[in-house]
Order: sequence, then structure tokens, then C-alpha cells
Amino acid sequence: MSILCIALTSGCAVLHSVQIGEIESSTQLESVPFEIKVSQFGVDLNDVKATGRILMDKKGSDQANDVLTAIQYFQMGPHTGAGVYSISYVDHLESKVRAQCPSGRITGLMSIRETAEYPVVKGEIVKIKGFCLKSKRENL
Amino acid sequence: MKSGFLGLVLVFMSGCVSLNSVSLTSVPLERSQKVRAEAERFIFMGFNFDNDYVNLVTTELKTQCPNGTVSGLLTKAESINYFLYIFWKSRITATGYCVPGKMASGSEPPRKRRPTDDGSDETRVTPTSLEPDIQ
Repeated sequence: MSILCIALTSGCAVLHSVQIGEIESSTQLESVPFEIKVSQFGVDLNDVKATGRILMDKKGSDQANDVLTAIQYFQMGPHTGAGVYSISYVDHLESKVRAQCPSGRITGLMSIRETAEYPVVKGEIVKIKGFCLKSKRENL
Repeated sequence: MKSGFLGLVLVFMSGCVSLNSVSLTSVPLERSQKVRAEAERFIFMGFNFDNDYVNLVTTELKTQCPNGTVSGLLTKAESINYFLYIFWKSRITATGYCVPGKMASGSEPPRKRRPTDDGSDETRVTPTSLEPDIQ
């Protein structure tokens, strides 16, 4: 039972893509790491179908299956992770990076797209990691 | 029988590789010092609770180019399937060039941005200043 609870509550992290920008380093400058994480709630309709088959009777699950299949027809095409209802959660990443490093001297910027997978629901995550360069006497 | 077993071992040991993403930054003129870093994780039955191993790539590249800039970075994210995605590996490979002494941003004073966030600098050359003086 406890193993089942752990399996259901712990999300498996699936990596979709990684991009790394130019990396500068200097002995005169200090690299201060920063990380920005934005995420959106995603729903895997195939998982919903499978859950419906377990929880509902045959007639009900068949009807739900038909509705979900109809929805899936509108979600076709290349994508990473499960469908989300809005992708605007990634729109303000640049301003968030600037807020983390007001000096603007940013290096080693790494963009990570990943999914935290739970049963039915998914956490669709975009992470930005990088370093803010500052001179050793400068305070951020 | 022996050859069949050997064939099976070969099938299980050789992985099918799929490419998840590729990115490339601008390639520098000076390409004498090549740098390369790799991070990977072996995953059993999809149980992987974080992707923090990718951080090692940046750290490793910084170590290989301590006083310069790593440019022309080609980053590959790939999955290597050993057997039915029960045993598989996720690997990040980054190759690039170390340009010693080149500091694009670090040596310059911080640039002031306008609050409008249009990406331009605060001090801008006006078109009138570019025109030649007409006497």
C-alpha cells in the first residue's frame, strides 16, 4: 500500500529538451547562479480514458471514451508533454530573467523543458537556469 | 542455440537512439580549443525523479574554459533505448569552442534598459546625428 502511495504521489521527471547558451567565465567576475521555473497544469486524456475504464461501468466509460477521443482530434500535432489549457505561462520568462539579474550580465543560460508526470495530471515545466556575472565588490 | 543466444544478447545490448532536441549558438572565428561535456542518467522503468544531472554540463564547460567564453555550443539531448524502454538512458552532450579572454558581457559596464522592455539601450543614436552636415 505504501509503495502504491509513493508511486502515485511522486512524479517522474521526463526531459524533453535542453538548450545551452554561450558560457563566459572570468577569474575577476563572480558567477551567481539563478533559476526560474514556470509550470502549467496538463491533462493526459489517455490516462483519463484508462481511469474511466476502471471507475465507470462499460456503457459510461464507452461514452466518456468517445467524448475524449473527439477532444483528442483537436489536439493532434507535434507537441511535448500533455496538453495544457494556456501556454501564456512562458510569456514573461525574459522579464523574470532580468529581474533575477538586473545588471544584465547573464551567461550560461540553459533552457529546460520537462514534464513532472503524475497519474492523469502532468506538470508541464519550463526551467531557465543561468549565471549572473558580477564583479567581486559589486552587490546584486 | 549458441548463435541465437548471442544474437539476443547483441539485440539487448545495442541501444536505439532517438534525438529529442538540438541547439547551436553562434560559431566563433577562433576555433582552436574544442570543449566537450556530457551528462547522462540511466533510467529503469521510467523512474526518474529529477533532471538535475543536466547542470553538470554547464559546470564542466566552465571548468574547461576558466577564463574565456564557450561559443558555438552544439547541445544534443538524446534517449538511448536498451530494451523496450524498461532500460534506457537520457544523455546530454554539449560541444563547443573556448575563446580565451573573450568576454562579451562581463567586461562591459551594465547597460541600462528602458522600462518599456523593447530590448534597446537607453542611449540611442538619433537618425539626425548620422546625416552629413550640409553647408
